[in-house]
Amino acid sequence: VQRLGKNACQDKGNRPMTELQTLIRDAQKGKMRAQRRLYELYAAEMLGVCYRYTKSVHDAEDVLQEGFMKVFAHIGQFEGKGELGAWIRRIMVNTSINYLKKHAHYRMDMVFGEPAMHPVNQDTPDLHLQAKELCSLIRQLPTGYQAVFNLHAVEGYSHVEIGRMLGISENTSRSQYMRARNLLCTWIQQEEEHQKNEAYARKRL
Amino acid sequence: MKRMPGKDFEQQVRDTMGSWRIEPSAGTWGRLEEGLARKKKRRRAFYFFLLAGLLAGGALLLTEKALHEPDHAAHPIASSMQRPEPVHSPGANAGREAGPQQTEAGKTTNPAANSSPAVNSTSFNSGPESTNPASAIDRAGNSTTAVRQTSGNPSTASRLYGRSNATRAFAGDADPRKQRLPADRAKDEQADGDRPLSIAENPGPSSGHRAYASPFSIADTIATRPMAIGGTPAPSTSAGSGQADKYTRKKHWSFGLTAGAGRAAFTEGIGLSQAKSADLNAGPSTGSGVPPQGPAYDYRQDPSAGWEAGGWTRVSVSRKWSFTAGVSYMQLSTRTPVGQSLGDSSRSYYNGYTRQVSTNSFSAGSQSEYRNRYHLLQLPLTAEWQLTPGRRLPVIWSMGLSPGYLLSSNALVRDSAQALYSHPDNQRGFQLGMRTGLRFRLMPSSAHPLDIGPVLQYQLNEVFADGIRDNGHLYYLGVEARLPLFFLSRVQR
Repeated sequence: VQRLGKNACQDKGNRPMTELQTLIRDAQKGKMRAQRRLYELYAAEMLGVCYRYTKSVHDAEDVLQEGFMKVFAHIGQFEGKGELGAWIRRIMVNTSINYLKKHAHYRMDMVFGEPAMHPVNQDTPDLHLQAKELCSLIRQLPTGYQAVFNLHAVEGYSHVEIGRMLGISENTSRSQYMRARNLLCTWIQQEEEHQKNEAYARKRL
Repeated sequence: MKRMPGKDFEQQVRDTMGSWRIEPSAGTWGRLEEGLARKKKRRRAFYFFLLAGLLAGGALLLTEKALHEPDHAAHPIASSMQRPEPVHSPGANAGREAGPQQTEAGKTTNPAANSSPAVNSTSFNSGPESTNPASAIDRAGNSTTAVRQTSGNPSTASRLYGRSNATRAFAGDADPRKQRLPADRAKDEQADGDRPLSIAENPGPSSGHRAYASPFSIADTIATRPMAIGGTPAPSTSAGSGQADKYTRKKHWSFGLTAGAGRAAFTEGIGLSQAKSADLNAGPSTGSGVPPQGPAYDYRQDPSAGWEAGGWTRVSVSRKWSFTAGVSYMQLSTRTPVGQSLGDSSRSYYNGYTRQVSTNSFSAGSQSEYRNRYHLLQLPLTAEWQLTPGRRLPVIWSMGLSPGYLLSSNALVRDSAQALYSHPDNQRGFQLGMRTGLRFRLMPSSAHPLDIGPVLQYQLNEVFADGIRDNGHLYYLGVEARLPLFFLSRVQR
């Protein structure tokens, strides 16, 4: 995307335009080639976003497809004031949340009542995990925890916004997040311990 | 993974996950492309049916006239009425015998009618009929209004209209407005081609004191005529995007020009005021050269062209809603079939209170067409709703009111002698229109997006003053284009 941004061209009004702006303008006109190019630019990153909210790659691809349908349907509303990637990401997050609410196997798991007893860790561990390993741990969280954790820790939404998105109160969101965070920290510590043991065993061998 | 000391947990997670990518499978784009094509097809179908619906609606409106063309012969009341035929009794017909005789040129040559207050009496009996075919209208150019008196047997009229009405009609001293009603009915009877009404005018000094005694029929013409359209659209702007818009509200102001063209028409449809049968211009014309009761003539205003131009300002209060105010000039025209011109210098008509000197007057007929023009200055106020999101082809629905003033008009009205004339006093000044339309925004991403679409305007007020017969409402159906010239934005927190 950055490389595209450096290649300047001109529109009909002789204003300098980056290749990305040209792509956006063409996509707004409904040109399929521009849409495909935008998809190729952002699909991998957005599938990573969708993957964090779902439990399988198949579901994540469904969300990705649905999200890009929305992107191309509403790209006319993108005024070019912010980054296109951030705009698409927001659509993907909203689509993921809607997907969780819509499908029964996620909806039934999205319970925000009194939590079951989980091991609680008040420490804040340092992360030594790769993104894939961290993501697999996040995806092992219950769906409700997973959604709240992703929205707050990764996307940076406030608890007020999360409450509005999920239809829960701000306090519920806050408590759900704390429980998810503690659970994840415990798992991260266990995982790192496990990795250390493995590394030690490999050295011994 | 590199250790990130000093960073909180959330920041570490964000840094770790931020740039993580997964390549989607090869078939994902294929499915997406299929879905996009399906959606495009669906959108085309939507616009097709929308356009088809609009065209069908427009066609229905324009054919309204043909569907509701007045048919006097088939009018249930008129046709079922067993009308008594007037018989001239020797005594009562004295005035008639000496009454005005009509020449081919439509002038009366009976000196008695001018020199003395002629009384034209008509008797209604159940016996054989005797009619004065000349309809005995005094057209000798007298400056005073004739008083018509009729004597006869009221029994038939009483049977037809009830005793009180019949008594009033024959007494000749009741409220002239109320008593004109039977005269109207008689006129309609004449339009049926049955028999001319026998009316004599008494050129007495009184003004407006008239008694009509021809209670033949209550068949008032119910003429429905096609309509008109007109509109003033405005472009809507999309509000800002993003999360920040939840907390800020943007107000966009835009200013621009509008122009449109279409068809204007005239109908007797529903409105704020309905002209009753008090027919102020039903009095006899006293000028020279007006033909007497002519053949059956169906007054009508056929649809013709209309156009408008003006300026507007619009404020968008949300992503979908905006409000527009403007000022525009609208010219609507209709066509009326007329006979020969009767000159324009010495024509003088009585409209119930004042004498009117007309500049245009025609006899009834269909030899040529006269173009009625209405010049309106209006202030359209509309609310607009963007029906479709997105910027590819936004569709906006506008609806509102359009108060205005009828600056001038040369529209013809009809007097009781079937002569057509125009006069400024006949028009109603204030006009309130109801306006709606659809607009398609072309080039929405450009600095000056063009809005274009159909618009319909219906005038709730009748176009003629109270008491003018053949009153009705104007409407306009056309295509309107709006071009914004410049924009202003203001952000409210």
